[in-house]
Amino acid sequence: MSAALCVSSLGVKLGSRGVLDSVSFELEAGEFVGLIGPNGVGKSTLLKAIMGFVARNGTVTRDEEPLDTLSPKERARAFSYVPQEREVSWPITVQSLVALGRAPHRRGFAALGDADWHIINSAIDIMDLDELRERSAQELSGGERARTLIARALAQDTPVLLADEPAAGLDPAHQISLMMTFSQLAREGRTVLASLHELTLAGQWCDRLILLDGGCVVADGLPADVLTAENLAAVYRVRAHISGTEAGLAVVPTGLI
Amino acid sequence: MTGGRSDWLLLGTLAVTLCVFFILSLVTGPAAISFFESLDALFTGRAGAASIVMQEIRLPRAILGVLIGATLGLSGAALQGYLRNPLAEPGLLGISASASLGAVLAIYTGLSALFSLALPLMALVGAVGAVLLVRALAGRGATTITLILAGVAVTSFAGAMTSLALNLSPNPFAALEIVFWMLGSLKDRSMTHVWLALPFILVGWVMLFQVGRALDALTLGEASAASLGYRLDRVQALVVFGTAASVGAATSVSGAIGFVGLVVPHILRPLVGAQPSRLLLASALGGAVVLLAADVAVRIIAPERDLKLGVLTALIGAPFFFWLIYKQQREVT
Amino acid sequence: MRSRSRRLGFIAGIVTAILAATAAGLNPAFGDEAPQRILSLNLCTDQLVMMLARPERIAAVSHLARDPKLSVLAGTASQLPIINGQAEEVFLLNPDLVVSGSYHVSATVDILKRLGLKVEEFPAANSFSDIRTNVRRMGRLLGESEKAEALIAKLDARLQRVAARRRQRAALAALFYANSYTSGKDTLASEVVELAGFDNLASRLGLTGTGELPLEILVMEQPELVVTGLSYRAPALAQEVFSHPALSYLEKTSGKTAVAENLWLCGTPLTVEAVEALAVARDQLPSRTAFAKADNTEHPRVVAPSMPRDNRP
Repeated sequence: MSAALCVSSLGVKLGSRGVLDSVSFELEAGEFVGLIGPNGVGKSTLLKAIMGFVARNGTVTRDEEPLDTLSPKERARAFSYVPQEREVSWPITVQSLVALGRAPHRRGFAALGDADWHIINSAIDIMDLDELRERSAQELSGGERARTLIARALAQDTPVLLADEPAAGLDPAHQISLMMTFSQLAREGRTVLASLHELTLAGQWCDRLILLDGGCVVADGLPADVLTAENLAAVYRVRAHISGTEAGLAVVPTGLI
Repeated sequence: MTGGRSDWLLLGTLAVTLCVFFILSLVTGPAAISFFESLDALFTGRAGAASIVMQEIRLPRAILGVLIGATLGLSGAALQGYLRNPLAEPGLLGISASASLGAVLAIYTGLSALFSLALPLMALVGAVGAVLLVRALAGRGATTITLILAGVAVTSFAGAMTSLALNLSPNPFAALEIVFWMLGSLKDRSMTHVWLALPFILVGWVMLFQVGRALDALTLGEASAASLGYRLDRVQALVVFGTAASVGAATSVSGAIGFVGLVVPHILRPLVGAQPSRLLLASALGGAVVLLAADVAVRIIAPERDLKLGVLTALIGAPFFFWLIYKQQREVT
Repeated sequence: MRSRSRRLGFIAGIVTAILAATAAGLNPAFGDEAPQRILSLNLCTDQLVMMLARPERIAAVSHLARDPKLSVLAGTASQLPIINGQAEEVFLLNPDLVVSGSYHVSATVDILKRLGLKVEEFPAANSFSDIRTNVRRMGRLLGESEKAEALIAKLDARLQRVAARRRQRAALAALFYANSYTSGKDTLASEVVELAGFDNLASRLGLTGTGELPLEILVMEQPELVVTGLSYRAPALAQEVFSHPALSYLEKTSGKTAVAENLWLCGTPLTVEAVEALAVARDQLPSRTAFAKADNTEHPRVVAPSMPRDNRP
């Protein structure tokens, strides 16, 4: 069966330092996958390597086709990517920022059509940005900016969405909204791969978790199977209280090993 | 993108202002020809000496004002969008100074007398060198300070080399002409200069206008822009060569004129919602208006002297530049 | 008897000595030798010195004297020692007379005066009467007054011949140098042009001294003769104006000639050659009526001067 995203033996060296070594996994359509691991383990690097922004060994394919063979525009119609750095260089409006997501679908110098605006508007609604449409994106709070940038990726309307630390800096309500959105996307048949620091959030909402440590995949499976005391002790070096609530898993670090 | 009607209003206003200043430039000059006589002499060509003055002296000067002003505004907007820095412009980054160096080498070695295209071509080479050098010195995502320092380094070096070349010339007039190359002037330019510069300027414009959308995407950083399907190596090539061709050719016939590419995009940015793509055409028109206005001013303020254009643009541009830096520093702290 | 005549003789001797001393004081040449180590620091004084003094008496001239574009006696100067005009060099050459232009770097000249050297400064010649004054003064200083008067007599004779042949109507001429410069009233070039039988356009427009003649005005005024200075072979922007298309239009309707700039850069007796050359050009101009019929352009209007009355420096 062709995978929405297949990563095989992916390795990345930054300078002389090996960051990732032989990372392999497959993502199916309709999955919301959380990428977790301690700081500096290479989560961002992995996402950048998949997108082709850093040099890598190994192969990345989608539907059996290597990503390298796609033109940048074709790749942009298949993958959207939200980087960790929330850079907005000019004081453009929230609405025009979100509209940037339509770029891979536009032809030549043509203006945005009704279909484009429909998608843009729904992205704005989903991320609760309607009141901020005309505001300058540089004047937003950290959380508002984060939501705006994700809305841009939603407007890109791609089968696969990669996000680097999308929930960082959001207040709880918006964090949950975001997770709900990602889940909804997965329900629609898309694939979402998001790196997350918030373990409880990851445990509750992701269909699957991939745990990275030392440049390799240490665990890959259901949240309950990945978020174990042993894994947390070995990888995060913390003692944690893991319990099931009606919403799902809750992971509460209680002390150091 | 968004903008639509407000953009047409802005562009229309700029276009009309441009026409007004173009006509103003045509009727300004030391020869006392009345308004209607001058236009008649220009179009009918039957007024003897007056037609010669209009067609061979004033018309090329006005045309170059438009071409060069538009080039400076456009390249300033493109560089600012590409480098994501509001202080970028061909003058500050040493591109104009390096183009001057190329032009000086072409003229004073006698090369351009043998092969007239050598003039814009060598200026273009100088400009390419400067853009690549600044990019290499400042690195990716450079801070403002680094970028300005890189520009200062390139400008100083190019200026010193230009001065050296001029001083080594056997012609005693050459050494004094450093002022022309550093400050710029449109005095006594002819249609020959127009034809020499025009093809390179147009090619440069075609390249620069293509990067508008990519610059919009670059607002979010290089990774996001690449993820949106833009080829950053192609964008870089278009910006580098587009700037080099247009600014190079412009500088080769007028000398280095600074600050237009800095001030015009900055003033127009709020009127186009800060979107780089919308800023390109507006800055081109705005730059043409500013340069024509400056050229009219130098002929009115000091008609018997050869007041250089760069003096006027610096009078407005330098204080503006200080204010920009001050504002940026305040935002940082 | 004897002591009385001795006393008279003694008094006569003293009186004679006093008279002689007074006479010597009044006439420096008497008792003073003409200077034997003459040093000139300025292109213009160089040429006057070379015209009046024998080479053995010349200690050095300025390096500009050897530039054939600037100096009429470049050949002579190439046989003489040259200096660059710094005080040290001058002092080491031990001159007994230093001549310089009034525009020379005054710091150097001040040092030389303080060191006790005899320094004479000559203003630039802006007219033929200035030329005569300078030549006479230089002749007196060098002890060659006779030679000076001879040069002046020859100069005047040649000017007379030109005046005798001069036509009634003064044609309009424009002086046009590199960087669009021209010479207006109170300049030597202007007087040369007028003595040759022309009206100087710059003077007519009210310009005094050296200043800019905008290309537009040159074209509009359509002078009958455009006089350019010589260009250097090496290129410079200053000379680009000479290949401007507007000037080639003028060439169809006006005569064009070039005068060696070294003839009037400094006012010397040889400046008369410029007058003679331009007088020939005047003779060769077609008559005005023929000129007006030959092309159908409108008669150029006299333009109300938009140029400044004074040339503000």
